[in-house]
Amino acid sequence: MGGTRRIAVAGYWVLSLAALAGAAWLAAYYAPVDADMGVIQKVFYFHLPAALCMFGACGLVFVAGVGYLWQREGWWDDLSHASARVAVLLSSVVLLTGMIWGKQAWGTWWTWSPRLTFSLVLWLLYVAYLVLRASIGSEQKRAVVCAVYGIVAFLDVPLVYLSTKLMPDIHPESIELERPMWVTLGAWMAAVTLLSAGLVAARYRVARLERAHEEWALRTGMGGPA
Amino acid sequence: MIGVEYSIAAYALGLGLMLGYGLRVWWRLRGALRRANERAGGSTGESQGEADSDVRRAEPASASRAR
Repeated sequence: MGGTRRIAVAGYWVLSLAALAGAAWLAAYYAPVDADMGVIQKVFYFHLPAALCMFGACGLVFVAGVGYLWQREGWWDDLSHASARVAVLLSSVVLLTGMIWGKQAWGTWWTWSPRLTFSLVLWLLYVAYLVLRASIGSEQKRAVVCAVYGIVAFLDVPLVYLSTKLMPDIHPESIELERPMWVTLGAWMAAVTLLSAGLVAARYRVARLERAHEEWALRTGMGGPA
Repeated sequence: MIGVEYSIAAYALGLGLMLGYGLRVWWRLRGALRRANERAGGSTGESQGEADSDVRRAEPASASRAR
C-alpha cells in the first residue's frame, strides 16, 4: 500500500464517517416526526439501508461462490468470507433495529411473520456459513463447500424480499414518505453503503494477508497461524 | 415524546455493532500488516508506510502460489 493508496483509504473512511454524521443529523433534526408512528419511525432510515446492504453482501457471497467454482482462485474464497461476515453483521443490525421498532409499533419484540421469520433464517444461514468455514481444515475443501453453501444460502434473499408481497404479513410492504424523509433516507443509504463496502474491503484485505501468512508459514515451517 | 428512547437505542445498537466490527477489523489488519512486514524481513520498529510497501512486495508471490 503506497502513500497515495494510504491517503485514498484514509479519505474513504473520513468520507464514510462524515456521511454517517451528516445522515444522523438529518434523521435527528431535518426529517419530520411521522404523524402516525411518532419518533420511532426514524429507525426506518437506518433499518432499510442496512437491509439493502445486507442483500448486497449476500449477493457478493453468491457471486464469489460462483467465481470460485468457475476459476478456483483463492481470492474469490476470501471475498466470499469477507462478505459473509459483513452479511451477518448487517443482518444482526436489521434484526435488532427491527425488533426495537416492532416493540413500539406492534407492542411486541418478535412475531413469527413471514418477513421476520425469513430474516431470522437468513441470519442463521450466514452464521452457519461462518461455523462451517471454521470447521473445515482443508483449504480447498473449505473453499468448495463454502462456495456451494453460499450459492444455496442466497436462495433465502428473494424469500425475504418477496415475503410481504406474496404472503399476508404484519411487516409494512411500503411506507409513504415526504420529501425531507426521502432526503434523509438517501443520506443513510449512502452512509451505510459506504460503511458496508469499506468493511467488506478491509476484511477482504485481512483475509488476503492471512492467507499469504499461512502459505509462508507452511512453506518455511516458521510462524503460527495468522 | 413517545419512542425517543427506543429510537436512540436502535441507532446506538446498530451503529455500535458496525463501528465495533470496524475497529475489530482494523485491529486485525494492523496485526496482519505487521506479520507481513516481519515476513518480508523488516524490523518491527519501522513505519507503517514501510510495512505497507513490504506487504506489496510480499503479496504477488503468495498470490501466484495460491493459484
